[in-house]
Amino acid sequence: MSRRLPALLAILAVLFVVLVGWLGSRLAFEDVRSLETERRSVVESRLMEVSERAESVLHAVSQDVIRAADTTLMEGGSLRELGAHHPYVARYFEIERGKLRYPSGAAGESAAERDFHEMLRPLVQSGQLAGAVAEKQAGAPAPRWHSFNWRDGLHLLLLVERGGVTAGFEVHKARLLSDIVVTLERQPVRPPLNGALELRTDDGAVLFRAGAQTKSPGIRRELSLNHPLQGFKVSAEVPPAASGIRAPLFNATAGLVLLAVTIMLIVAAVLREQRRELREAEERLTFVGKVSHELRTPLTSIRLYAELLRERLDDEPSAAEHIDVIVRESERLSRLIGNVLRFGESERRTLSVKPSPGDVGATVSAVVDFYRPSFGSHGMTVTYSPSLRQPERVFDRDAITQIVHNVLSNCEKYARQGSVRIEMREQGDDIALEIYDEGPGIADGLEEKVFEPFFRVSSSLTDGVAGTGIGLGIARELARLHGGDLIILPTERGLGLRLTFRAPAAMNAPGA
Amino acid sequence: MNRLKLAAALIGAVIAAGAPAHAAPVRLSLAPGYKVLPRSERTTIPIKVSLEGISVPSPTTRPTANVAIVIDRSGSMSGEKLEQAKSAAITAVSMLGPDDIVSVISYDDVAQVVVPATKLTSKEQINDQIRRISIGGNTALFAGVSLGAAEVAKFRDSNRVNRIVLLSDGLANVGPSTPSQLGDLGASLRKDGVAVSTIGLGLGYNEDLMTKLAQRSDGNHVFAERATDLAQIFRREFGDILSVVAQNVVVTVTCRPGTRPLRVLGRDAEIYGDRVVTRLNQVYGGQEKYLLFEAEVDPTALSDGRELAAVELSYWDPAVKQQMVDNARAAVELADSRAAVDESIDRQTFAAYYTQLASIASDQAIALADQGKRDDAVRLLEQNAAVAGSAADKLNMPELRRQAEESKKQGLAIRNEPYEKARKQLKYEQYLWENQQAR
Repeated sequence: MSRRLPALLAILAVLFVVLVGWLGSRLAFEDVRSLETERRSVVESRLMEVSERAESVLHAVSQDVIRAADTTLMEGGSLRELGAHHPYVARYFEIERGKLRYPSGAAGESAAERDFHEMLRPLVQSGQLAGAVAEKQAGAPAPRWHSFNWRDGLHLLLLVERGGVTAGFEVHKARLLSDIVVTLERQPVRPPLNGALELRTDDGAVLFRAGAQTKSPGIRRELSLNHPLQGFKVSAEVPPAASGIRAPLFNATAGLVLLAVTIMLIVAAVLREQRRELREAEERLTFVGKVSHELRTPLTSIRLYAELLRERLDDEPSAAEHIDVIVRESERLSRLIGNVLRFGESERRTLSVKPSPGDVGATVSAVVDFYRPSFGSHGMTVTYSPSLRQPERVFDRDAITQIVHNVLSNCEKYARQGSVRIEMREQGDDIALEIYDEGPGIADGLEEKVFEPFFRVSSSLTDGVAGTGIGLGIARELARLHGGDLIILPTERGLGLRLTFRAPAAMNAPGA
Repeated sequence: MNRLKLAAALIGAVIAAGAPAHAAPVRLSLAPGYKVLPRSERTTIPIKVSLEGISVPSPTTRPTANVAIVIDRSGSMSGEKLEQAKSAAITAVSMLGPDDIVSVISYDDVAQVVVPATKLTSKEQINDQIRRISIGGNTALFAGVSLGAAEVAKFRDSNRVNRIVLLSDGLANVGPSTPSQLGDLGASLRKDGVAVSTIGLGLGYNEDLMTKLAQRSDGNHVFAERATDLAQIFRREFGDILSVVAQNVVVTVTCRPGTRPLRVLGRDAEIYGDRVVTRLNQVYGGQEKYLLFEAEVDPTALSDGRELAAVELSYWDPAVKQQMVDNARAAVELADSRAAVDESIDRQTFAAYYTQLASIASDQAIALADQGKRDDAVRLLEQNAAVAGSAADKLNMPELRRQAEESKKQGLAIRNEPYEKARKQLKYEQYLWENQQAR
């Protein structure tokens, strides 16, 4: 027992630590992965913010231009003049029924108008500037952007349908970019996670930059702006995460080690406590054994000299009676000590029986005779008539004596009235002894418990009765060691016990 | 001499008009190169539309200024350059009054607003911020101008002189940095009434970019060879700012039958058939700006009045917060003799004409020199000088001899100086000629 439990605990502890370790490392990796995902989403959202700023500038400009155009028309002015004084409109053009109505390339147009005509004509002819089929929607149709490359770079056009005519405005691209720069600088878009943010135009020039470049970025993401600035790219670079996997893994490992150490300490403490208790129990038993042995020695002398005296006092009856008492009481004491000693042996698993040839009938009779006076004083009758054909058998006389003593002692203590009937039978190599009394018996459910050490049935009848509670247990164990058993018989009233034990006939004994 | 003439003209106008409460701040005139033309042959003549800012407004009547000073603090500005720039800016700020608005922007890799647009209640605070500008990295010129425009926009008003003064010593290398892109931005800003004056310091800036930006927005341009020139340059620039008498100026010349506009020399302008249109951001008191164009005259197609053209001038007068309109006409006489024609020459028109021709030659010379054809460039300039010289003799115009000298000096510069310096010098002089900027 003392070997198995620590091993079991150790295995459990190791299993537990391994499980927690596995979980911990999984969590650590999950942690890192989710951190990386989080970092990526921060970067994405910052890129989106820049893109949205650019969108808002485009939207504001288109609203401004359309509003100015509408105002001009309402006041009866000409949209051709818009380019001369609107800060965002560089030039104006008109398309009607798929043809470039203005500038038309006619004489009387300025050099700039002719140049514009040359630039727009292929676009108009190819139908690229044709709007979507007019959707039946309430209110004025929405303006749309168009971008294209011509000579010196990207040109941005804003088109809107007005009364069957497509009004087109080339916007000052540089002013638009300037507005984007201003909004990004004035309400700064911070670079994500101490990295760098960069917006480049379609020809690669850096329009806006924030943060410091990192040599080996952990994350690098790029996003194209929406139409009409789809050639523009906003990119973000972020230095690698501070310690990558190391920090969470370190935490997990440290936690694990701490946990393992704690469990080990707990297990060690428990084991130590257990061992201490075992040792103390051992010591107690040893002490009991030693004390009992110490008691027995003087007891043997008392008995011996008492018996010697008894023989000498055959002629003096009262002195003889006194000596009888001394002998009987020392016998009782001897039996009690015997029980204690055997109990100790039983606990240490060293209890054994040592059979030797003897008269089994005489042995049992001796014990019954011992108790006759005591039963008689209580008004109880004892009926015992052994009839053995083969009384010479091989058995442990001391053990059988102890058993019968314990049973009859029980009767004496608890029965207190009625008759006690003892019957002995032979069953081949076995002897069966049945003892019936007319006492209170044993209550239902307590049949097993009476054999447990220290258990004593508590009832009004037995309160105040001395006893150790180990008698029946020892008796049964001895009986079992002797190849038999001690069982409670079902009786109508009182208690019935049957003792069986193996006691082969003396002449059949090996070596006989 | 000019001042006297102006004063006389003013007195005359006052007497003539019965002393109105406020005289028009700009005098408009339309002057063909010859007052007499040959009767029977077509001639191509220069025609000059002149806008003279009559007088520098007094400190109490001048429109308030709304100026953004944009200073380059890239690495190349380290040392004396930045110090001089800062002290020049501080000097300029000291010329402004408490109602004027100033903002300061510095730029290197990125642009920063050093002093947001603010009324000049505490010059010391603003000067402190200017002093704190320190050296940085690259040159985000586009961003600098953009932020400057945003600061000016806060208080932009047609009754204020809205201006960005840009100082740069290096090549723009962050953001859009081509002349056409900066020019596009300048054109947009002019329509908002904001002019960008550009000051190029040293030999490292892009003169095409700086002149284009100034040209399209109708600001000034200066080539500052040395940092020590900056103080005076800033003073002159701010002097201009404080002497604006007209803003948002539109000049429309309508040529009469028989007169066909051919090309405009110098200034940005558009020809729509018989109309010539140009726009200026402002006219300064005490200075003259002009529009010069060539026109072919067919005397047989002229109307009875022999009117060549009519010009309409429209501008905003910040002193009275009103839109002003003015008109002028030019008619000629016809003669048979060449001598009559020659005698009728308008010297001022022709002086302007030769100035513009010199500018065109200078531009062509730069194109040749850019291709490596330095000798051809020099030759071209010397040819131009010769033409101007002979015209000086023939027309008895000493000012043309000065023009010839200047063309010759340009040729020498290409031959003798490092080209990057000569190029800046030439571009600067072209700018002065084409925009009639006071030197």
